[in-house]
Amino acid sequence: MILGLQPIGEYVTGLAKSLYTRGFDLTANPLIETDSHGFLAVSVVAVIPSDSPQGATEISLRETWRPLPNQRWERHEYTYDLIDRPMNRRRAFHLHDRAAAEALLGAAVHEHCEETLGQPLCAHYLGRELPHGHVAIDLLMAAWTEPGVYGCAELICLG
Amino acid sequence: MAKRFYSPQEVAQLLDVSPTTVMSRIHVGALPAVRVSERIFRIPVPAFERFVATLPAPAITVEFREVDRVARLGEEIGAHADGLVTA
Repeated sequence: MILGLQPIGEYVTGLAKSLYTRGFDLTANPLIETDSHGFLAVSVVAVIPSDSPQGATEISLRETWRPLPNQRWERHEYTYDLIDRPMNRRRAFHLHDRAAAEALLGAAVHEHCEETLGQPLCAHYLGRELPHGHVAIDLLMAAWTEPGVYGCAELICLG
Repeated sequence: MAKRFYSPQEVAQLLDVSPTTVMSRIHVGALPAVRVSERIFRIPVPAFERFVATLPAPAITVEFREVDRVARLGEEIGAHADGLVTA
């Protein structure tokens, strides 16, 4: 995914609106950080408040974008997380540094799946690369509304 | 555990409209829904409540901030747990 700065801003706004229309409240304005090396970091965090003593459900969408020539950036890392405290479980889709991940796990992309929060049966599951954050929102919302178990045991464990 | 989502039939009952009307609102994107499978949709309760209240979406402002160094995601909490620290 390669975009200019303004389209990245529009993309981030779209992610935030998508979460809002699904009932989530933004905990802060969506954020784009820039540094002197030209990297961008994108962050959108939203919650559904809950009366549950365990706390709220939180979705966080974070991405880093590396600079390319001509004022364009390429999304090259992401972490899309659902922390479902009322249901005490977690689902996440991650792409970190490709080389490091492939060296450690044998795969660039991985997922997290915890039927019980903080007690994963496997630290990393094989994942598929997500083309953008809107797909992640759909997947995380499907996890949030899953009335049964996630089915973590059916995923392929990378270790 | 509080109810988390409605079926289109439940929403139709709550709004006193037909399920077809609900599905049409889902398909045009007016009523947010999760597609559980090809033919099964669920409407998150908070999204339904917001739809009913017809609250306009707030103006969303993206904040831009300059930092010394953008943190790579491998350095963040989840990645520490992963052992994928990639400074």
